[in-house]
Amino acid sequence: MKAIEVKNLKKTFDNTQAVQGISFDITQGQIFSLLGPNGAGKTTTISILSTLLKPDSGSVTLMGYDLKQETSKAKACLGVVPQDIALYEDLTAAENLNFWGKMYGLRGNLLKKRIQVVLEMIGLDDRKNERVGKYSGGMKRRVNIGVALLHNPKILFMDEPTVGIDPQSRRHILDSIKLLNQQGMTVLYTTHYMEEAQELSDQIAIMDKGRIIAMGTQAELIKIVGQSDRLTIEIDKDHSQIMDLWQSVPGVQKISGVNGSLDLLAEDSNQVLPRLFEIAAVNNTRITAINIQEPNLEAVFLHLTGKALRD
Amino acid sequence: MKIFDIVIKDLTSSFRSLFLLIFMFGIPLLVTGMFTLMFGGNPTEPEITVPQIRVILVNMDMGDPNFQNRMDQQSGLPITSLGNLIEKTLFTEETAQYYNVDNKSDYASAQTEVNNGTADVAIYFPSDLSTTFTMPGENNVIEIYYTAENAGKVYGLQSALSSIVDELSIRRIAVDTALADTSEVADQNSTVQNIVQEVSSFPTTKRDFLVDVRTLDEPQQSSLILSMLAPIMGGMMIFFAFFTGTTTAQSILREAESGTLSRLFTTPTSHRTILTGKFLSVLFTVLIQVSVLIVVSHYLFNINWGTPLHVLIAIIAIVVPAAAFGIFVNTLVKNTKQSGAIFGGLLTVTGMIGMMEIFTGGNSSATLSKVSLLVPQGWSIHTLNLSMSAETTTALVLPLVISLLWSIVFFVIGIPRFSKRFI
Repeated sequence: MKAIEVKNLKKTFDNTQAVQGISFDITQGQIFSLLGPNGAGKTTTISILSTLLKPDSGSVTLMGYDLKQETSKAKACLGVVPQDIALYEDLTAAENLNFWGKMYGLRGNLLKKRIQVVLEMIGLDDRKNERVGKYSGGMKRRVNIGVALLHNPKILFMDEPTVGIDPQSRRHILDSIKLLNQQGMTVLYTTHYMEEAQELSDQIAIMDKGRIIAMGTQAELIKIVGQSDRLTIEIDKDHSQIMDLWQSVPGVQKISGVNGSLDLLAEDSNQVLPRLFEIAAVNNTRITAINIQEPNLEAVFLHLTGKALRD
Repeated sequence: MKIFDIVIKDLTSSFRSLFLLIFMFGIPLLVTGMFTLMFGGNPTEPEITVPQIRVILVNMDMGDPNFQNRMDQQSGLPITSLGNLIEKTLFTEETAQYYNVDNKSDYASAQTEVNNGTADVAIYFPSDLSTTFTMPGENNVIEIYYTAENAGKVYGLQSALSSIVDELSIRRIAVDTALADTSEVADQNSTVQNIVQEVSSFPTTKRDFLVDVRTLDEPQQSSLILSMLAPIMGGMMIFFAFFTGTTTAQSILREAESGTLSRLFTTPTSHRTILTGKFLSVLFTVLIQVSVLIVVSHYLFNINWGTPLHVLIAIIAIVVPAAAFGIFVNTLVKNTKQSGAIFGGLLTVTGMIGMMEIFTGGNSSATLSKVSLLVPQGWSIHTLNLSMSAETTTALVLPLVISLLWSIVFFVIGIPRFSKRFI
């Protein structure tokens, strides 16, 4: 069964086409990641799916409920973890969960049980009576996620939930997502961290400039770039002059550069590297660092867009 | 149900804000308290403790046969002389807490005691007081003796004594005049009989003026302070009720900026329910503030706000427009960064206009009073003043209705603007 069906979704802000006719399906029980740089349209997409924005056109179905026609039923299936922490800092964690649980329609013993379950899940049971305002950023993130889990939703939207937190909290969150998924929850996850998308996702859609430029499993996406290696080379001069020279080296598929750092896709790094060094030496350019990576999603993005995810 | 969940959440947040608590309760009470201290009053203790005055009464009045058959109407004891009558009128069971009366027969030694400070005052009734009183054309003197330093202390007693004597004198003059006009052949005996009859009818139970004299200064000062405190407290309460309405309504903007409002919109709770809950939380916050201030100021400053029904009407006339005003002014700004200057300006200007009567010490002209009614605060104050001045309930209806009309105008403009922005 399809948990989420999105068809030809479009959204324009003033003169900016934030989402340009994207379509995708998510099967129930999957973790689906929208991967792309800032400004790719991920948050706009998730905001439309959360009913916070009205699309200019297109349709969305959540658990079979049309988002436009059966909004309330669709929302009841949905838990949303916003990108920014959206909690009441002058309330305790327990009070926050109690309030949000009521907003999701939970009452009485069921609400109490769910609060307890969630507090244990996010690892804050022992500090539940402290005001959220006194929590660290990571703890707030965990409560932020906990709120979305109170009503045990069938679908969970997570909009870059690990931005700006410590490694320990990030690991806790990623493990929690896997656990929830194992329990049958469908997760739509947006991130610009390639590693997170690789670790979590059953399906990945790569977004850029409001479009989905590639979609599939991790293996399927990597096939796009074949077995190419990704090389990150740092030089002691501006990248623009040597980038054109390196572009012409046989075996170099794509190249991009920023501030003396160049990203290259090459069929075989062992074959191209000597030639790159040779050109650099002739042009009096010193190579200061080299990093060689096996094919990954970053390479896919570079291959498809000509730029790195972090650009 | 969800509406009240939102209300309770907002109330919890509001009452955990020290800043808001200080402005809601602290400052109105503090300002009023400062005025109390400035004017040296303690309105919680309106009964003044008066030190007991030590009186030596030297009643040498031998009386007159005409007084023998007269009885004190209250005690049933015989009134044997004019001195006896004055004594019974001046010193009663009720005034015993103020006067410690010691009867003596030697006026000289009484004066010595006053000089030595063992007594505060000595009063002397001469032996022929009754006799001379019943003889037309005769005069006599009652002496009261005290030192200069006790002048203030015995002022009340002297006034009371003078009042009694003055009234008795007036009665005698009245009888003398009446007899002279009606019968030139009236014999002396009938004159005496008439004077004594008239004097004996002097009510020894008429003691209210004694209390008035004793408490002549202090209660007046106390009521003066109260008459100032009530409008000041009322003005502070209304000013800060409107401040609270504006500040708590600002929580809608704060929630929009912090993302919690957006998050609420992702829950299966309608936008109307959420905004209604937010509006009601503003109303309840102001309601609690005004109710608490009314009760606390009543007990703290002894302010009588009026009958319970009148106070209820006044509370409605304050709370509803304050909440509506708060919601309205929040629709005029895009975000909380803009709100400081705009709210400050609006609240100050409308507050000053509305409270013109208070700021001018109640001496504002009719024009100024009318100007104050150009803003909702003016009508709230007007209703509260009517409640305090014990006007009829009907008198409060018009200002209440106008206050509610102001509220309707604010709601009619404000709610659609918020709804347009968030729904």
